[in-house]
Amino acid sequence: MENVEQEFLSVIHEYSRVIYKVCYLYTTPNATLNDLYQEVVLNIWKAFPKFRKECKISTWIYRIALNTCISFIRKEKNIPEIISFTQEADRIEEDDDKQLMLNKLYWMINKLGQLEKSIILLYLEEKKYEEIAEITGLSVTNIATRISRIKDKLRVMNKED
Amino acid sequence: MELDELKKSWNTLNEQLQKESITNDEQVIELITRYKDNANKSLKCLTGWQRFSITIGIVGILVLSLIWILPSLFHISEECQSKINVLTIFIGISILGGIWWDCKNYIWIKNTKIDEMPVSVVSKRMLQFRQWIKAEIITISAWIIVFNVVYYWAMNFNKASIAVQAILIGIIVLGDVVIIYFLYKKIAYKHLDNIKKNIDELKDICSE
Repeated sequence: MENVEQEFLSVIHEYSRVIYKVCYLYTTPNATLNDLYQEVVLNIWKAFPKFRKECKISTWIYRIALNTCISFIRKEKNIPEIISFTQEADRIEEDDDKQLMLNKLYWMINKLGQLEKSIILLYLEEKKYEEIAEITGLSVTNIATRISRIKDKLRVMNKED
Repeated sequence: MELDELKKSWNTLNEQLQKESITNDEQVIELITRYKDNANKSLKCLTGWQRFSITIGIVGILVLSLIWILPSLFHISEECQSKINVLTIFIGISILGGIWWDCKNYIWIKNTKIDEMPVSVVSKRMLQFRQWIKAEIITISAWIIVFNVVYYWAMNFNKASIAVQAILIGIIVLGDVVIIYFLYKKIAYKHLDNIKKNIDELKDICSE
């Protein structure tokens, strides 16, 4: 196996959970977890030779994963259904309470806009405001404002629920 | 569920993911191999398409030139010649416009670098692109109608009797409706819903 492929595999191995979480939040009936996961992995592979290490690799991975998920429109199935990447993850067996919690998490976050979803995901991943700003391209002040706005939205959703 | 609760749920997801393996090396290798094979096939296909579209372009220009010189060869009347001129200019401009539009879209998409550009920039570019797709579908529909009007005039249908004109207009309108219906329903409709949804969702990014 080539060196590049080995290096790529180790990156995917290290960040598979990160990619999974991003895809998990952007899953829709038209874009399944598996489709998004494959698309993100492929895009990372395509961009991998160009990665110049100007930013942290995690920042780079988040950027590609979020951009891929937000931009993804399923015009046609370009990638043949050959691999079920998320098979293992789909099999995760949670007890009812945990499943309920995850369902609610998915439901709440999906009520937010695309960019808000990205911001809240990065916030939940405990990224610093500076890094969130670097990934999203917004200013740090803007991130702070948006997080506060998201908090308000969640509060309202909670009341409505 | 507020932010603290969301964090708890997020941690639950993290805990679950720690226990399981998401993917394995063989799967990734398989995906890459498939991608490489498909990329090679696509490249060959693309080269074939490019050759085909260049051929079509050349044939199109030849046909237009032929139509252009036909009146002088067959001593067609001046009035007829001017109508043929209008029709060929209209088609010629449409073809050139279409080529320009395709190039513009291609360059726009090619310059949208998801690995270098931040999320908000890529989203704005995607929003712009989706608005263009919407505009393209509307423009094609309008073009079909304008083409029929020009064609109707060029063929002197407007000089026919009212009964004949009524039948012709009926056929043309029906034809247009069928074409536009298929354009929307079979080709664009499914995507338009997605496009509209995406435009709505991405609009908040542009309100920066």
